[in-house]
Amino acid sequence: MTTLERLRFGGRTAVALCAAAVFCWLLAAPLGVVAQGVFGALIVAAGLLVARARSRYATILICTLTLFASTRYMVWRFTSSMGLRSPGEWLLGGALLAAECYTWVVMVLSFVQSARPLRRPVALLSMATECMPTVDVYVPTYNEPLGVVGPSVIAAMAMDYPADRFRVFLLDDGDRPEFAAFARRVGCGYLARADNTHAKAGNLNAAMKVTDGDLICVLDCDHVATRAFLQLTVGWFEKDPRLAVVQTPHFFYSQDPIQRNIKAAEDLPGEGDLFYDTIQSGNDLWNAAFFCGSCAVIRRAALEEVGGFAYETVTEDAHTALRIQRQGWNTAFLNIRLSAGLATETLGQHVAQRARWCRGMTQILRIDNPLFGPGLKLAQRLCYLNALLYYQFPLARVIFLLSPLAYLVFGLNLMNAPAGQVLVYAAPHLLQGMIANQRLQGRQRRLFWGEIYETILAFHLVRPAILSLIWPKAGKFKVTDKGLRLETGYFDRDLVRPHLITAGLLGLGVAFGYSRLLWPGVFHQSVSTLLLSTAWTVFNLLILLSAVAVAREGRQVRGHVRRQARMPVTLYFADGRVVDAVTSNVSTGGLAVTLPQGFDAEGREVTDVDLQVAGGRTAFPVQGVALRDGELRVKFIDVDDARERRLIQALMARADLWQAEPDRRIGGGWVRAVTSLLEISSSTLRFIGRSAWRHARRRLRPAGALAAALAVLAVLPCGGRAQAATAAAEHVFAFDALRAPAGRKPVGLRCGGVSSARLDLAGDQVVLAARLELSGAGSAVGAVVIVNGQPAGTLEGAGRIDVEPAAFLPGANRIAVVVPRADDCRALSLAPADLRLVLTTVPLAPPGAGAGLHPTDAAKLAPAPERRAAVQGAKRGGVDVRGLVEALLRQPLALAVLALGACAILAWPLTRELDRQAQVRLSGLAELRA
Amino acid sequence: MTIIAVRSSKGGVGRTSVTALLAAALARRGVEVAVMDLDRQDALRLMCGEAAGRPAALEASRLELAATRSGFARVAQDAATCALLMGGGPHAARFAPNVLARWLGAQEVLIVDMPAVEDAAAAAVSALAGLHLRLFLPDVASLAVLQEPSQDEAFSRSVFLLNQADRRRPLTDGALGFLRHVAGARFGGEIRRDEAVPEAFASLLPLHEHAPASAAWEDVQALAAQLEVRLAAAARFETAHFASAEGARRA
Repeated sequence: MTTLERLRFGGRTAVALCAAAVFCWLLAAPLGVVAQGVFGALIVAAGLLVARARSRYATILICTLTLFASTRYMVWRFTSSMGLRSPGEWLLGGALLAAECYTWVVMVLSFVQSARPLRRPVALLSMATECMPTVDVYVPTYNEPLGVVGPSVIAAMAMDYPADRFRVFLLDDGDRPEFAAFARRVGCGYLARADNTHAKAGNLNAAMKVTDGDLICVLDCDHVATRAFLQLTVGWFEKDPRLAVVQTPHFFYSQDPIQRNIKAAEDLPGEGDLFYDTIQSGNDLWNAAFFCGSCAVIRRAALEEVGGFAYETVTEDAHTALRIQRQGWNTAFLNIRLSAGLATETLGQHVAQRARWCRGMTQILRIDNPLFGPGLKLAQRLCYLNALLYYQFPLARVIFLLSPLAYLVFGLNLMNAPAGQVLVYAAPHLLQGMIANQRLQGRQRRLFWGEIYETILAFHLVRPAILSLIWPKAGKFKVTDKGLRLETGYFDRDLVRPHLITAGLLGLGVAFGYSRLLWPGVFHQSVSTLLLSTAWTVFNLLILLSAVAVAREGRQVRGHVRRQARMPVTLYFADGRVVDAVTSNVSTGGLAVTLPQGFDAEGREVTDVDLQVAGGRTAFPVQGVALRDGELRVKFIDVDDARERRLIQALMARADLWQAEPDRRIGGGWVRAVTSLLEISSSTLRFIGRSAWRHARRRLRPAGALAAALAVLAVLPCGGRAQAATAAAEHVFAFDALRAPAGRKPVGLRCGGVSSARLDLAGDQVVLAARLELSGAGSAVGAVVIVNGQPAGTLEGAGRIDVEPAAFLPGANRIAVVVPRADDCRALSLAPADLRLVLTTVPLAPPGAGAGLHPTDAAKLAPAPERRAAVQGAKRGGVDVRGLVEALLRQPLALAVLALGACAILAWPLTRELDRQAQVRLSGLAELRA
Repeated sequence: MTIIAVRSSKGGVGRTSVTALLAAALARRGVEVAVMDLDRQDALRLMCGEAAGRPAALEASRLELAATRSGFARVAQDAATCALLMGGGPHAARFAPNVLARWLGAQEVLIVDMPAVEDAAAAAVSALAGLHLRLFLPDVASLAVLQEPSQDEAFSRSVFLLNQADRRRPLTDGALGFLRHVAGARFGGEIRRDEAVPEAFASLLPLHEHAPASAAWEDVQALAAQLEVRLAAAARFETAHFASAEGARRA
């Protein structure tokens, strides 16, 4: 390293350190409500602007900005919003804070994980055929029907790899004779064992004992591999001798229950796409891509080193990978769809499958935590930790869903801060989070769908998550059923009961919250907090209703799963006519073919269809089923073993069959995301409304009408009230209605005595004017009123005195009346009931706090340092440098520029470091060099 | 200025139909095409729609009536420039070089339906042809001719085509594999058997009018596209040969 280089390096480091220092300092810089509002808006605007650039640096910069906004929010949450007042608030507020912390941690980890997904190219084997590694292909099965397993085995056997270098084994844990017969017929290996201890992991381990291939390829029995599977995956094992796992994506050619059930979501990407396209590719950057149970090739030597597949948890795949990596082996993820499988059929199965994953991942978190133990690098630990922590989402999600109820129903403030302040801190955090999400995952997941997916599962996964956290050793492997079909459409009520109940509670909560405005004397309802809670609740309701929409299972009538596919085919008709056509959808049971222009199939009988198979074409006998609008549906007939094999090769094994379109974008971005959310949830509302109406008509007609009338009556005054309440309002507090700090009523005023009382003001109310009124014949000459320790006025007989409004603070206020021990103490004839405190308040309207405030009043709201600086500046005639700097730093614009600058500087070394890591990974020599 | 000789050493392979279809397909691609029938069956005129009684078409071809006296007749077909040269036989041998040269002065491509057994006229055309389109059927008798293909002097200018391919018969796959193996780069593909072809001839309609979606028509179109590329190479060959034939005649 030359001197120049050293200088340059030193300079760069210094700049980065300065930027980091500014970044950290700004996280906690205190700002007034307006200033923070402007500051946050600038940060978000910058985020949106940066998001227009497509470069990798822009991505990192967006992540840095998001990290800043979110961390600033969290710092504010810890330092300024936790002054809670009752055990109930502490309990619920603590839960909310914990959930937010969890979300923050997962967000930071996910930035580490997926800010720069590795795009791993294919590596082809360069060696002679007879030196290629031998591969054992395992197709484990337990209770799946032969109709599902057969095609997978046949396709696996048809893979392009030297025939003497790979063998396919059907690992039948069900020990079924027809499977053994099938294996004999098609010529693959058949392995069954006496018991089925340790489920799938045990099954695979048993097979390892009796086979000896260099590599082991695991294909789930419903994953049909394409011809190129081995060709394209095995190469990396040659390139990197310490490589243990090559994982490829699980692609599903049938729609998952969510895609199927939500009609409005036609172009919705599969739920798994996000995991494979972004997360696993991101893991791969850090050498932490993990085995996902299927569609992967594993080096036998690595497996043997860790004693085979791990069976201690119900997610043997991730655990096995973790163990292998602890031994210093590398893993790789190749993002090419080389196989396709069946998605889970019903929402129930989907939930059951996720419950299993949730339990397994939690088990690993407990018994083999990646943060501890030997063998991993920091980044690997973080990536694994994120994968495991992700499955702790259920409790956090439920907390987020239910939290607004605390205020709406019980009047508990989970954040002790004015609503305006909550808004200006939380909004940048949430919006910037969305921008980052769109950037990192926008191609695989529409906005809000992460929330919807989590909400679908959350209620059902809370139990397994918590139980496994406490008792990680309990629990059995549950097989996910596939290949069934729904005979009729139905609404899975059990599955969405918690969602419906929660939605109902939220709806009632809003109504209740507003109804409390009707009795301002009884409840101190803050309108702005109410509005904020309402907004939160409405968002939760939209998410919940969208989740409920998923439970309306559509009817699936096909035994064979169809998928959209455009494949060239030739149709043969009984009268000798032959035409070329293109399929619109295909299954191994039949095809739908779009007939060419100018061909009339009416009256002609189709006899055969020929399809491209492995470079050639093969004709299959078919029977016409239906002809409509130029589309001919046919089904395959006389399908024998040989034909079935050819069919599977034709329809499922083409290497290029499943590749995603290279530049798939989810149309519409933000607007589309919001409209589709509204669309889906409103369709659910209509559906629920219709069912409820049908229900009601049958049984509860009179009661329903009455309830509706009551609801209308209850809602009508709320609206008017809510509008009026945004203006200044006068509150009258009778002194004797106030509680003493100790909880007792204030005692009567005595000569030489002190009577104190506690006055709770809503967090978002600003006192504009205050006065004490003495009524009746009471007189209290010389009594001093003290508000929060500051003398606020002296009573001079009956009448009213003005009290300094700035003395009142949001939250609890302590008011004391001190009667001096004086000669004319006799003059005191004052009962507490005679003394009333009248406060004029305005709500602190977000985001321009003080809308409706007089400028002088607004000045009073400014934080003390700002006032001090202004005062000092004024005193010294405007040349106070320190004061100026301080005042400048209170300027949101200056701070925002500083923050953006710090983020922009920090993003450079991060981008460079990530790129360097990618280079190292792709050279395949990461470990060798170290 | 290219001659495509459509030939097969066995009858009933579909030379005449392929000639007519190919001419129509090339014409629709904007190539000026003439066809000539050297086969004694004299069916090409029928297949090109000559007997359909299209006076307009005949009218348009009157300019070329000079050729009729020499034993050739030409009929414009389908408003395109597909022309039909009829007759042949003993006359052809005499007329071949100079008549062809005159014809080809006006036409880009002449497609000749060759007889199964080569006579003098055929031999003359064969020597001048830039492309030999050799037809086979997916059966043993037809493919047996390929046993010693290298003996054929025109092999290097040949394109091998499987006519009446039918995937429902397992033999088709085998025949295609064999033909592709033997022909290598000179493999021209296949034309599938489609009942629409004889139906179209019987109804005296061009195939693309009778059955626009016909698989056979798709194949012929693909063949025409492919031959257009090959024609460029063939044209170079013929330019050289016409020059030498002209020289030989003068001498």
